Amino acid sequence: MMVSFFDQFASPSYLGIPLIAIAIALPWVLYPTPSARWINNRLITIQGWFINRFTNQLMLPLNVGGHKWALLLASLMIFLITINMLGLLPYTFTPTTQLSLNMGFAVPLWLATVIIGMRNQPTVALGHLLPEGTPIPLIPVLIIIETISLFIRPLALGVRLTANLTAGHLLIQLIATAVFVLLPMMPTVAILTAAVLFLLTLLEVAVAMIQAYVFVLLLSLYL
Amino acid sequence: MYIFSNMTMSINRLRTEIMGGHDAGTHHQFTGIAKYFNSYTITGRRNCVLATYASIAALILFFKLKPKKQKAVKSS
Repeated sequence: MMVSFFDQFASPSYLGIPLIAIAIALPWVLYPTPSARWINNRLITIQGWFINRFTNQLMLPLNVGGHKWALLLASLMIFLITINMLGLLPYTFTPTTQLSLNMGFAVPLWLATVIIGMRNQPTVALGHLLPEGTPIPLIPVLIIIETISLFIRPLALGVRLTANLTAGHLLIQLIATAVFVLLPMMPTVAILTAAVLFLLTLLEVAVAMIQAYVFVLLLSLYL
Repeated sequence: MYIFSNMTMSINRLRTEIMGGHDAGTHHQFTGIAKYFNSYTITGRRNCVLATYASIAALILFFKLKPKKQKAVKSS
C-alpha cells in the first residue's frame, strides 16, 4: 500500500461512522457555558471578555442593522479558530482542510448577504456594482468585472481557508519526515531542520487564528 | 457605449460642485439622459448596471433565436 502525504486529509471513518461529525462537534463540548451567576469563574470571564472584544471589533464598520449578524459571526469565528487550533495537535484531523466544509460555510453565508442586500436596498445593492466616478467608456467593462468579482467571492473565501490549512499541514508533515529521516544520517542538519519545524509550527498557530479571523472579517465586510 | 458618450457630449451639460476634493454625489445636476444614466448618483449607477445586464441578455437572446442557415446539398 502506497502511503502518501495526502492521507492525513482523508476524511476518517470508523466502522462506517464518519468521525468528522465528532471533530465538528468538539468545539461545542470544549467551551463552558456561562452560568446564571452574577460573577462567573475566571475561565468563563476570560472567554466572555475575548468574545465581547472580538465582536465589538467586528461590528465597528457595520451600521445598527448589521449588528444582527453579531451572534452568527462570533460563533463562526470561535468555531473556526478552535477547529484550526485543534488540528495542529498530533494525530488529529482538521475538518477545515476539506473544501466541501469551507464551501458549505462560504456559499450560504455569502448568498445570504447578497439576497438580504437585494431585498432591503435593491438600488444600493445594484448601484455598488459600478464604482462611483467611472468614466463613461469604461462603464460596461467595469460592471462585468464587478459582477464576476461578486460571484468569485464565495469561491475565494472557501478556497483561501482550505489552501492555507492544507498547505500548512503538508509542510509540517514534510519537514517532520525530513527530521526523522535525517536524524541517523546527519544529526546536525536534523537539529537545524527541527528548529525550522518549531518555527513553522508557531507560524501555523498564527495562520490558524488569522485565517479564521479573515474568513469572518471578509464575510462581515460583504454585508 | 458610443451612444452614451456621443449623447452626453453633444446634448447634455454636466455641472458639479466638488467639496474638498471628495465628490459626495449629492451636488450633481444632470440633464437629459445623464440624469438617468451616470456613474455619480446611486440611481444612475443602478440604471447603468440594469442597462448593461439587459444589453447582455438581449445579445444572448438574439444569437439564440437567430435562424441558422442550412447549407444547400450539392448533387454529385
